[in-house]
Amino acid sequence: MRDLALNLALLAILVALAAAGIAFGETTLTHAQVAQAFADPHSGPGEVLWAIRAPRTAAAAVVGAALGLAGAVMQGLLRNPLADPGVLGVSAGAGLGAALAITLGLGATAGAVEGAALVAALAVGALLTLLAARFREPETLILFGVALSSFGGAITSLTFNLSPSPVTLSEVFNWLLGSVANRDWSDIGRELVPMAIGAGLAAYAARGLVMLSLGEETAQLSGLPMMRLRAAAVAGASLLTGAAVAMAGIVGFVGLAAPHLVRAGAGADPGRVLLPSALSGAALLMLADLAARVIPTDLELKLGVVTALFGAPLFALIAWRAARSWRG
Amino acid sequence: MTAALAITGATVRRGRQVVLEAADLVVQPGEVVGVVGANGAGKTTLLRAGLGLAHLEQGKAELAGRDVGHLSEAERAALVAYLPQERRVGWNLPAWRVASLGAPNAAPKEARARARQALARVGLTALEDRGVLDMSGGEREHPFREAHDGLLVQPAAARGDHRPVRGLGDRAV
Repeated sequence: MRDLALNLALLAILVALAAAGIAFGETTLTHAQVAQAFADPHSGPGEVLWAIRAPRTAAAAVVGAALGLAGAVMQGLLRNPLADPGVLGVSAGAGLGAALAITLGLGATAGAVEGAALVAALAVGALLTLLAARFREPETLILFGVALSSFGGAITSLTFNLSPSPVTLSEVFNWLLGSVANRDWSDIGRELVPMAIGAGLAAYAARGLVMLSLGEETAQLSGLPMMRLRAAAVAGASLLTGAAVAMAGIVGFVGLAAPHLVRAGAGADPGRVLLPSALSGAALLMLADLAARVIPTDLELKLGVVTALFGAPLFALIAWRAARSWRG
Repeated sequence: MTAALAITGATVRRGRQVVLEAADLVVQPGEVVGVVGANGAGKTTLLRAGLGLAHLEQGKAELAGRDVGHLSEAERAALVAYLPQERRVGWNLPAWRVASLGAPNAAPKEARARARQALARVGLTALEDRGVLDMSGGEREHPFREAHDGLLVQPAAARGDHRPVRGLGDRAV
């Protein structure tokens, strides 16, 4: 019952944020214009609401949900409240894929950059799945993730370094900063498939995540098919992250922060925390996207910049409080 | 009678070091066995080898007459319970939730009921909703530890009283 109440409350917040996401933007619409948009979706104000703001808001929601869910899965899997899809190197891998696609001149080809990001994320995920089957200690997986992350970052820097054209450079850079602006419904639809598969795998892995609370060896002898559950968790988190990066570039901190916001409400249970994490991740990113739109700057703030600006201090605060309770 | 646990000629290597060499152990059902040895002598490794947790370079390990490597996870869990040395609980789960993990394949409601019963058996009813990380060192140390270890053997105990190797490594005196 408590779970239901938590999820319903989060859903109510999401609905409110969705309404705000459609109501606020660069252009201020009068009441009459809003009424016109509802009456005739093909009018000028209708286009603003339904072809620009609505898909953008929806993109923020699904990307946030995917990242929040991926973060919750990773934290459960590694029994580490500081884990995050970024830690695994999946974000860095996806970023590298996109950077390579842009550098190779595929920036204008429809879906090429997104496809490259998703494929690269999956490649990192496949590698991690193999490593997860071979090395059971969560610390080892984190170390591999850090190594993969640094390596992906290094190759991305290398493409910057060797890129002859400043235009390509700024294109890659812009993409890496993360944004959900100018997305249309087909962009969202394309990524929904990998996200749905990832969410399914996460749901399947949930009972394994709970069992891992008791430690690796206890989980292994619990009677659950831990190797399969663990592989499903890694693959699911990779798919979710890859699809999120493919849609919106690299957006940090959501996967890290979302589970923390709802963990107490879900009784600290790493299985029950999954759904609320997806919802709170969606809320966080919709809020960040609203901030990016509403904060008056000459050039619109990039989503990844906003999440880092607000997310990093917030996260430091969470870590500070968590550390106090650990010491106690 | 089929031995509950039979380890034959088990050799386990960690890196280049041989940590267990040609070890044999047979435990009959109902038998209580303590393994005595110096730190680092390989007591825990012996146990892990018997449970299929350590890769055997040579030799074999059988539970109730069946090769441990060929048992499914559920079959193995029905034959043995194991309380490893490492007992850090990863999250601040309520005590009843930790206990209910001893019955992972039971319906949630039933697992919960069994967990509450087991906690009652060790006098922990008052603490059943308390997060395990919120418990004071003392509270967690003695009664809770018993609950934790007693409960994790629930599935095995319920299905036929094979409890041959519980705590072998840790309880060695």
